[in-house]
Amino acid sequence: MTAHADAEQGLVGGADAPQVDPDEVLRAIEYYADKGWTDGLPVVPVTESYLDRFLAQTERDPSEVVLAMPHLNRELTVRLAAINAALAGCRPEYFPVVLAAWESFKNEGMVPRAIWQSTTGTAPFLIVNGPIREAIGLNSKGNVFGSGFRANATIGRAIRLTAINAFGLRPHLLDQATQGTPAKYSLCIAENEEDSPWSPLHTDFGLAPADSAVTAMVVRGFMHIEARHTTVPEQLALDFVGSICRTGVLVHATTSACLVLGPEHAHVFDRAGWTKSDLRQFLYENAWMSRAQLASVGKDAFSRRTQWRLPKDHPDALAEENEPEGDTVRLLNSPEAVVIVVAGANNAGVSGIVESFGPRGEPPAVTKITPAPA
Amino acid sequence: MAGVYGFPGFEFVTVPHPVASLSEEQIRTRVAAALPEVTRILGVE
Repeated sequence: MTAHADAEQGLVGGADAPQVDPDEVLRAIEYYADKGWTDGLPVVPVTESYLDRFLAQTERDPSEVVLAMPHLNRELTVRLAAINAALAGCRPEYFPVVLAAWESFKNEGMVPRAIWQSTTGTAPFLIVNGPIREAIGLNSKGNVFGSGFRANATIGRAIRLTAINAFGLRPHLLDQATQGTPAKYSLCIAENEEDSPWSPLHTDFGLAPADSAVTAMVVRGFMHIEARHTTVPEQLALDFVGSICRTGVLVHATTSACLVLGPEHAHVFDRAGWTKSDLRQFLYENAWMSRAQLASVGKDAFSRRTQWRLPKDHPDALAEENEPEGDTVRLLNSPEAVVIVVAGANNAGVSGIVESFGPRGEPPAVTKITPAPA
Repeated sequence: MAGVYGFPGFEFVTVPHPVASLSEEQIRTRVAAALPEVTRILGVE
């Protein structure tokens, strides 16, 4: 690209560009990469004075343990969480969101028990609610799962970078993911509360609309749902059921999901008089498969030890004593196994399903964000 | 994991993938192949 073309693209800095030695900046970036303090992308160099700006966002002591992994004999402190948020490119004012996210992962329970070392290859997923979305520029509208928004990109990245740098969960070593998921780079969205016909997610779990909160989940991946073909709520909901209950994701007796409705889809249900709870109930009642369908993919029995699905003739297969009688098998254990939020632009019939690794009926891990000290 | 616990030289036996999808007979074959290594590490004469 020529200098002229750069200028046309708006890629040339003006008089306000900082006067620094680019070679020194690059040397710092390469130093961090050589140390392995990275997810593969360049990280932001962190000095003590820059770190102090992050630590000033919380009243918690820098040495306080945020989350422990006893099986690795490793602990995440407030200071380590702040270093990694800074490395990830967060601005200091994002740090209260990062800390609340870690609190949610601690309460959710799978992360301290080594789920991120598993061959399954799960990723962190964050949903942010409340006024902080606007305050720090979190995107909840168009391209919500895509790139282009610093707060979304770096808050999600801070979690994964911390897993790598603080807990040592590096690929090929303590992270044994078979394939992983692109969500491991970053997966953080805000709910589009303004274009939703329903109450925000955090208020479903006891918080006030004026509170800000982070909901954290461990997820296997993301599925795009394109459904512009109908405004009949039953048809649309059954289309979601087909994707939520695909056999590839059905490793246990039942499954779970986070259904991220585009506003247009949410309004299809609302116009028909359906509440969020009505939609969850419909999904639950229609989430079933015939026993023959399960048998055709070799998932008609359970492992004696792990409770994972496997073929009936597998040496570890239990008899069907823990499967209810009948020709059909329920694939959600309760309406609450599907968490519903609204996000994206209000411009098309597009939604997403985030394939969570639980909870299956228990409430999701929601943490109120503690604002920075005045 | 051995390094995390302070035993970087900890000796262990590896069994080739796959395992979960094997039949009972195939599992027995894997065990038979691994057993001499297990007994060697445990110092069984």
